[in-house]
Amino acid sequence: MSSMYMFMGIGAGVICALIILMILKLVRGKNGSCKGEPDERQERLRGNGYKFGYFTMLAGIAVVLFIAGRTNSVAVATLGVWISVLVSLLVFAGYCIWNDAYYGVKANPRKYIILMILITVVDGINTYLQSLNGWIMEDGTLNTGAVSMLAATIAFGGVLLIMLAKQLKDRREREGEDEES
Amino acid sequence: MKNLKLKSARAAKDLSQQQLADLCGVSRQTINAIEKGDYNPSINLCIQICKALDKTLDELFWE
Repeated sequence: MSSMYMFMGIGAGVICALIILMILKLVRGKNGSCKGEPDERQERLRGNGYKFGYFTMLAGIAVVLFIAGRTNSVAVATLGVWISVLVSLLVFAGYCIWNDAYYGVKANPRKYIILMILITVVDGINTYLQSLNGWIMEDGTLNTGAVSMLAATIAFGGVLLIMLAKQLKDRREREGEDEES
Repeated sequence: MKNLKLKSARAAKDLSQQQLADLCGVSRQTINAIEKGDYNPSINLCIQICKALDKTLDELFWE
């Protein structure tokens, strides 16, 4: 029995490694060079984005601790911290995407959009599977698995929407530039 | 404050923002931000832009 779990663990590890390799191949260039290198303006804006994300997470965790202290609920504390991390990620990514600092200089945004669609769909499927057990457990507590997956789906879906809106804005900007010249 | 001198020098060379950005190794949005006056570039980037447009720093960045 234990050897079966060991092989399952090895299998899961290999699958994870393959997924990571696939993502790296998607993001990196043909000759292996990283296309995600930011220029000087993007570096500065990423720093700002990181700061905003960090303070958002601190504020979120402070609120969660306050609520968890009143309710004495482990589920609320766990979910709250997880949601704080996701919101801070959304703030960081959203700020960087909207200010053209998320993708590197020669990076192709389409690859990132495809990746984000995949992540959002996988999270959506996981949310559905987790929610089959119900959103509220028999003992009256929240189904933390389903709620945390739902939060992840919303966060990554939000990043995806910002990416798409930014693409649309950029396209209009480029068309405006073409008309000027 | 908008950098109209940079914009006109780029237009005189018949370069798009993307083409100038590629020559300087930065993103199109960075060139756009410099032209709009939203971003003050480093001296290194100013020199790269000047070289790409065959202009001097005075001609492009001195008021």
